[in-house]
This record gives sequence, C-alpha cells and structure tokens, in this order.
Amino acid sequence: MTAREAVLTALRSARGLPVGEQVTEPIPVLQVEGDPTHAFERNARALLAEVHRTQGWQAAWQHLESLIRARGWQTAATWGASAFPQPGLADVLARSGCRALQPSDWVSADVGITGADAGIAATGTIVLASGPGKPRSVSLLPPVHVALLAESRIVPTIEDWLVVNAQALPQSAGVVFVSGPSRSGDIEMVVTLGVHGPGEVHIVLVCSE
Amino acid sequence: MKPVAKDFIPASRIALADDHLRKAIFAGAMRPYLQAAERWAETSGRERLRTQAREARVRALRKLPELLERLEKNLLSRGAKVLWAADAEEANRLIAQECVARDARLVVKGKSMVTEETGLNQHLERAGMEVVESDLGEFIIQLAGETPSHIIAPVLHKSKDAIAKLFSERLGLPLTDDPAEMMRAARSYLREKFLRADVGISGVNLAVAETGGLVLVTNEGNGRMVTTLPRTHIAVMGLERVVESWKDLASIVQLLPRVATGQSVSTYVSIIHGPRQQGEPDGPEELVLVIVDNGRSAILNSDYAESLLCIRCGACLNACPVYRRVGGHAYGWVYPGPIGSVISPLLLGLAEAPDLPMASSLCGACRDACPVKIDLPEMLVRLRAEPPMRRKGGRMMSLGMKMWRYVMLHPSVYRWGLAATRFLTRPWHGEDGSLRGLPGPASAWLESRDLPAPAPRSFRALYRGPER
Repeated sequence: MTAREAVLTALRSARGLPVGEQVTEPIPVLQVEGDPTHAFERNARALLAEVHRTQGWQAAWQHLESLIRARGWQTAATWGASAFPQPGLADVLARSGCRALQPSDWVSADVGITGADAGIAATGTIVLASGPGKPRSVSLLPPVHVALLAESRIVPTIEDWLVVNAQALPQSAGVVFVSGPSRSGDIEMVVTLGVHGPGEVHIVLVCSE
Repeated sequence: MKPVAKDFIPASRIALADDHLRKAIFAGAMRPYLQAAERWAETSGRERLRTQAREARVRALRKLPELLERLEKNLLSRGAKVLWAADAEEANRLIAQECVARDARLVVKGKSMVTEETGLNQHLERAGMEVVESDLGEFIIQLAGETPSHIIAPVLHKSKDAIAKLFSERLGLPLTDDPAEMMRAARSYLREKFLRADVGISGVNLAVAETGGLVLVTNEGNGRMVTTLPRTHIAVMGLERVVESWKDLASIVQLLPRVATGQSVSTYVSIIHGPRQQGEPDGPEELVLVIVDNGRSAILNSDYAESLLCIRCGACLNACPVYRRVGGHAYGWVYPGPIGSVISPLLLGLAEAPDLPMASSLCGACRDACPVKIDLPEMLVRLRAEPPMRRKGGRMMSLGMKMWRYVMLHPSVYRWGLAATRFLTRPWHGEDGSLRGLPGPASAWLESRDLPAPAPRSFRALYRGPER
C-alpha cells in the first residue's frame, strides 16, 4: 500500500468532527462604504502605497514620465507592451531616457513597471496575474514598483474578485495580491519596508475621462 | 526539530526568571498585536466572518479525503507533481530525493511550520545541501541556531541588540541599533541566495480544492521569491490545510491578517496553480506538492479532531496569560501556546508532553481569540484525563481530588470539614490572611499557589446573621 492510499484510507475511516454542527454557504461580509475608487485610494495610502490619480491613459503616461524624471530612475523592468490596455510605455521610456532592461538584468533595475488586473477597494490591494508578457519578477525584484490601474477594474472586496474569477484563476500559474510595500516587523516589532519585495509602491490610477 | 516538550516545568521556571524575556514578550513586543486585536474586536461583521471561517474549515474536514483528491487531480492536470508522506521521516526523505534528483546545492526556504515539525533542514544539510531560511525572523533564528518562539513572530524573544550582535558576528555588519539597517543587511545577503538557489521550498497557508490552488500569505515577499525565482518549487503542506472553494478561502483570508497581526490585509497573497504555464515568461518550471500526514489522520480519528481547524494565526498565543509570561521556548516544540499544548501531545505522543495540557489556567481567552472558535480549554481538560496524564501528580493528587469531590457532594461533611480545617491549619495562618508553609503533600500544592486561610466566620455563618 502506498503512502497515498494509506493516508486516504485512514482519513476515510476517521471519526472526524462531531456531527450536528450546521454549515451554511458563505455570504460576503465586509462591505465598502461610499465610492469604491475613493475607498481604494484611501486604503492604498493607509498601506503606504502612493496613489496618483490621472484622467485617461494619455495623462497617465505623462504622469509616469514625470515621475521617472523626478525620481531619476535610469533602468526599468517592465511588462510587455501588449500587456497594457493602451500603448504608450515605449514612448514614455524613450522620452524620459529610462532604459528597459533584459530579463536577465532585472535584478539591477531601478523600477519595475506593470499594469494591474484588478484593484480591491476594501483594502487598497492590486491584483497581478502572470501570463504572456506579464512576468512575476517585474513587481518583485526592483526596489520600486509602479503599477498602472484602470479605474474600471476596481471591485469592492477580495471576495467579489475571487468569486467572479474562480474558474479563470488557473489560467495564470501565479496570481499575487499586492497590498503596499514589502514589510517586516520581526525585529522588535519595528516596521521596516522593502525586506525582499519593493519598499516603495506607486499606483497610477487611470480614471475614465 | 527535536522535541523537548517533556521539560515544560523546568523550562518555564527558567523563562520566568528571565526578566528581559518577560519584558520583551509582555510589555513590548506583543502590545501592537493586542491593541490590534482589541480594535478588531469592535468591528462589525467580525462574528459573522468568524462563523464563516469556522464553517469553511468544518466543511473541509468533513470532506477531507475527497478534497485532497480533487486538489491532487487539478494540480496534476497542470503539470505539477504530487507526493504523499505518511510521517515526518517519509516527508524528509521524499523532499531530499526531489532535491538530489535535481542536483540541488542551494535550497531557499519560505516559512513552513510543517517542515519545522519534520526537521527538514537538518535532514537536507546532512545530505550535503546548503539550506537558507528567508523569512527575516526565521533567518535570524537559523543564524543563531535557535528555534522559533512564536508561530508568526519567530524572534519575539530576541532583543534588537542581540540581533545586531549576531549580524556583526555572522554577516560582518557593523554594530547598529537600527532595525532597518539590519533588515537591509539580511536583504542583500538573502537576495544573492534567492538568485542562485536551485530549489525553493515553501509552506502552504491553505490550498483550494475547487481549482487546485495553493495560497501563501506573507508580508516580506520571501514567499514570492521562493516560489518565483528557483527552477523548482517544492510546496509542503499538512494534509488538513485545504478548503473547498474560493468563497471559503475569501472568509479565511480576510480574517487571518486581522487576528494575526491586526492588519486589514497581508502585503502579499500568492495564488499558485502549478508550474510556469505555456507562454509565461517566468516562474518555476517544476512544482512539487508534498502532502504530509505525520499524525494528523490519527487526530481526525480522535476526540481532538477540532484542533485540525487551526489556521496557525497565533492569536491564541497572544491571548494566553501563560504564554505571555513564559514565552514560546518553554513549550519545547514547534507549536507553543494553547494550540501547542493541545497538538504537541497529540502529534508527539502524550507521554512526550505530559505537562503541556496542565500549562493553562483554563481562563478561555484563547477560545475567545481563536478566529475559528476552537474550544481549546475543553480539549485541554479532556487531555488531562487521558491515561498517561492521569497519574501526573501521583497518587496523592488523585486521592486529594477524590476526597474533595466527596466533600463537595455532601453538605454536612463540608460544614464539618471546614470547621476542622480552620482549627487544624491555625498554626500556618500568615499575617496577610494566607496559608504559609503547610507540611507534607500540601506544601507541594501551595508551592505555586496562594491559598487564603479559612475566614474566621464562614459565609454560611454570616448569612445566618450576626452572632448572638
């Protein structure tokens, strides 16, 4: 008998929990009050992410350009151009003199630039799903992560997004919910940012014009 | 990790005498947790969420074999490999085999309680591999050659200065009292390890059977590193950590950070559905899931099945007056605090941890704090009555308890007994109204307890009215 069979047999014959406890279908519990976009902004800021509100993609790309100039980022790791809802990234990088690196050099990039598959209003979280043109390490290796999020992709709670996307989830081998910069409180409970992931997260919110 | 759970009483004495430790745990380190827990206790929806999280776990345990098979089937269909281990030794052997087959020299690890339980690191090191813990707390523990003292804050017991000293000895970092600087030193040391590692090993917070997803909840991002950069990812999970659906997962994932650290959400929640898929630019090329029993199916077949609902959040530790005074190391194994007092004896054998079920005042704070409402006090009491435990304290204890029961059931005996006790114990009535220095077996009982001396007039006498 293999370990698999032995374990499953043991589980099948186990007494288990006492019967009698009622179990119901879960219903969403946590709600978002007011306008989801405002809630998203407020909650993302509370997590120490910086939120930049812009009107339309044109303005969003312009804002990204001025951000790159202001911060002096020289090199970038980015998602593929096709992974963004609108073209414009290549121009931004060219105009601001920021070099897009090859994947093998991403570990030394100043900034990682991604889109976002969804935003969660209740917590200020962004959702990134891996896929063609959407490498996971762009939002992980550089010390700064900039994500462009379309306002139309904001949903009220984690639950809303998970339930709607449950069946589509396996299409991405890696989905990650990102809530602000990487943090640790291990040393005497003092919060430090940027332990392994980015210590700085910017969300460029692309609102409908 | 080698269990020393047998020595709770001496270990707790040592811990109690350690002023720094007590201050660190009780005064400083745990305060943010406790405050967060209080804030959260006032939130609307909390009870509803707790109920749903519990129901999600109950449903999962009722369908456990079926859910594990669904999880396996879904993962296999996307090219992952699934292995089963009946015990710790088999888990270690299987994981080592997978590493050796890939000629792995360097293994990076994310946080995993179950591999602490099986002693995986030592096993891989004996097989000649370099094994590096990458959670900041676990990394510090590993450098110091110690064991974690808290389920989610492994270095709760260590002072900043001790960590600075450790880093200067082991990483060559100039002495500093700035945690951020220590963090940066660890970051750059570990960054290089992540990039060179052949295999990443992670735990699994929860798996979702519906689609075969593995969920990891972290704050630092080491969990992402370990499951993204190395060519091979080996995930290790205790067989009870599965839920049926994403709805169920949502209840738990919204609750876990709130009760564990007071955050509304953890920084990273990773959902993994197999190795790198067609067209994906990065991620591991291979995923191996190891499902570990190691005593869990036996617990499911016992009176303590409810303990398998646990989501390892640490809330019961934070709430427990005993844990808060003695810290995690006194418990002598991987799982400290109330949940440890229940599951360590079950996983190790009752005779290996006879004192742990006694390490509780049964105040019920753990049950109130538990997000899935596990009735820990009830289980602690039941464990105390298990055969190997019952003789704890010897014949005098059980004789004393039998006498006490008899007295409490017979009012006239109680009345006479009380009067006799008042008279007989008179020589030992202390100034402060307590009993001091009783002889014989009673001295052992009073050694760690303050017992008031019988009052000059009993309640019954007072109730009858003033003396005439």
